[in-house]
Amino acid sequence: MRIDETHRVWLVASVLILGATTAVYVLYALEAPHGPRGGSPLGLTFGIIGFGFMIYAGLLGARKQVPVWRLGRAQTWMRGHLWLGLLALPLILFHAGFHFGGPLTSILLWLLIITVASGVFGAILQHYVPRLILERVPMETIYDEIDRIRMQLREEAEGFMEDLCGNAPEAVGVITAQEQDMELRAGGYTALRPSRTGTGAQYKLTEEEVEPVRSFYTAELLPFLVHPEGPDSRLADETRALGAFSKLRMLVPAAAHPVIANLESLCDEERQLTRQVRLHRLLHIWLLLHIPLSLALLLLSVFHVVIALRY
Amino acid sequence: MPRVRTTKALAQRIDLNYFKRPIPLRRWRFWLIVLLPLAAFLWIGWKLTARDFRPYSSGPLSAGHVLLTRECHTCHVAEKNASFELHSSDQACKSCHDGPIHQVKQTSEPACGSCHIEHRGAARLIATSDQSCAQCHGNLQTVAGSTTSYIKTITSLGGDHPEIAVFRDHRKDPSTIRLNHKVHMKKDLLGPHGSVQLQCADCHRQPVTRDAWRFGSAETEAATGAPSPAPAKVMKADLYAPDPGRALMTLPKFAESCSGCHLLQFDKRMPDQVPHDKPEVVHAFVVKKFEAYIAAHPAELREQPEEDRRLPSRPAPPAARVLTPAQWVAEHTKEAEKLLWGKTCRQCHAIDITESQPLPKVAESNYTLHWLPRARFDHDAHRGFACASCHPKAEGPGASTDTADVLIPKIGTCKECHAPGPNHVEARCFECHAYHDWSKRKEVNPTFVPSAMRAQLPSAANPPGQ
Repeated sequence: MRIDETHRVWLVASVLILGATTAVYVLYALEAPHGPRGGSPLGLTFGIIGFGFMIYAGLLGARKQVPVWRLGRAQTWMRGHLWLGLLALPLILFHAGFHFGGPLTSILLWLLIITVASGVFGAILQHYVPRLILERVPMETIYDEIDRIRMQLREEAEGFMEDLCGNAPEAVGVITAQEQDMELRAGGYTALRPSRTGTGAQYKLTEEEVEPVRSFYTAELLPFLVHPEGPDSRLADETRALGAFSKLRMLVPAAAHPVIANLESLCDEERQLTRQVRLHRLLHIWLLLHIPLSLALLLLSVFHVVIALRY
Repeated sequence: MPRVRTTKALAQRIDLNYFKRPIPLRRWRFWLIVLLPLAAFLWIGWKLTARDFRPYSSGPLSAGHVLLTRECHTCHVAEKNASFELHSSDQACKSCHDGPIHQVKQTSEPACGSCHIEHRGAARLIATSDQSCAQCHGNLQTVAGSTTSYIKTITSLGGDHPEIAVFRDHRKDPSTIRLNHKVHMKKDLLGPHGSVQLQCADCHRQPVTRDAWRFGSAETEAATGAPSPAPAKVMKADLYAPDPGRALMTLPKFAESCSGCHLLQFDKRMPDQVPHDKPEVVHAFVVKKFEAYIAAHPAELREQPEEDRRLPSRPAPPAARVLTPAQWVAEHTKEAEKLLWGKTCRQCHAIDITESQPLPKVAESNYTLHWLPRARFDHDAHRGFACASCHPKAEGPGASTDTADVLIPKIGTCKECHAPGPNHVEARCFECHAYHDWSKRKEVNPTFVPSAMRAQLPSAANPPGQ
């Protein structure tokens, strides 16, 4: 979610709440005989409000499980999650008087700090990374389908090579067991789709001309398409790839250049898919920390409330 | 033929059931969502099953209560009609510390926990905040609503703490001992073995001081009948106590502070000095010494007049005469006591000599040992500081010449070091004042068994060999 002008009301409200609670806390901390304490009336008030904010933030996950229910707009829930979840941290710190206390309260406070920090990190990523994907991955596809698209790119590359150079036994059939499995499980259009796409190219290279092209294909292009995230391939780098393809063009007649351009386009798409994978991981990996920790935090917080009431 | 990326072509590349397939990131997230809260739940359950309540503690206990770390229910007891709540109660505190009431006229008695905050780690529970004291002393009221003799408003040392009472009331030192600090602290004072420069510690010492008095000698001991200053008997355990007899200066005694210079010789014939004691004892000592002397020197019963040395104002001595031993002793005793009472003793003491009384009356010294009856002061804690830095009138050009001068420092001197903030020492009320008068405490009924309590503690608090 981008943090834009639609957040203004939430931002202003959050700043006002933070300012008011900070002012109250400072006065309370200065006047309290033994400093701020969670068990004092004001400390409890901070704790209750902070815990309320935490619960609201946590309910976003539940809200997402029932997207069709009429429980307010998803964007409103997300804005509330962002801003009230952020406010929960200072309020709980005011509740604790900036003390970590015993083992349970220390764990709770650290969980809250990590959860909020990961949330802030995630919010920053959600603000910038989608635009980055838009700019740097114009061939963006569905993340879950990237492996399948890659397989198709390899098939496409084989088709181009077959059209240009004839059969290349060593290159055909480089499809992994996982890809075969994916192909078997695929349904819908995939079942109807031809497994290879030809270019319809009229020009075929002579035996002398084939050698450098095939050599390039087997030594560089195919390994890159199979292991696009490998560090060694020069095709992984846009500038170096441009040089490699320029050199290849010089070795073949001009009539074959469109096919070379197609191979180059395949490499470019492959690079973009790699970039998309990286950006997607960056965009979502923080959730591995944020969601489980926030659930553990809520569970332990409930227990803390019970213990605090008892003792 | 160039590659074509039409929408249709792109759409055909996508498996419409892609969302049904598990992907690693989502799978990881699912398992973490399940496992982490489960781990938290198991941890809580494990501690509850083991009846180990330490994780729920709001903080470590103070040093004095650390043995109770696993004994939560020693202090957290169920109140009447409350089966769920287990708050710490005053009664639990008083089962070990039956702190007496602060003042019988106080309007309310605060709960123990309102001043002594537990679960704050190794901090001293006695370290209460100024606000705790100011709850009452900020606007002091009595239970009867009548006015109090104490200062009505005191909130902090740095703020409105009043001047020390003796200065506030312009009181004088009531001591009857004539002492001139200026004379005693001047340079080249005549000492027992030549000129000396007296130090404060020559007269003012702590009860357990172990250093020998530099002017003490066997002769002095023999003459005054008092032993040279020996350290007071201190139990070995006291040495580890915070105040093993070093808080206050002891009462300066003649034998330990004066006898080196102020000799109590009463007759030139004898080196003996009278004991520093009541007039009756002194009189008996003098008579006994003269009797012994004349018994050993019977020839002196015959007296020859000393015409050349007679003072004009004195009556002319009789011609040579022979006295009985009793007469000789009586006459010489009278002569010696005239010197003693009129000069030697009177130099320091207030002495009432009347003709009707055979012996004079020596006024009580009225020495004030503790100038701050409602506060505590520890000289030992201040041992690194020069005496005159706090007692400026004890020496130097402005030194006191009058016994009535009070030489303790004023509150401003205390405030120079005891102030809030960094580079200052503790300035809260408890540093000098106590709330509970422990001399009036009630005895408690001991119930704890340390070994049993220690056995329940984790190994960190119960290291091997202890």
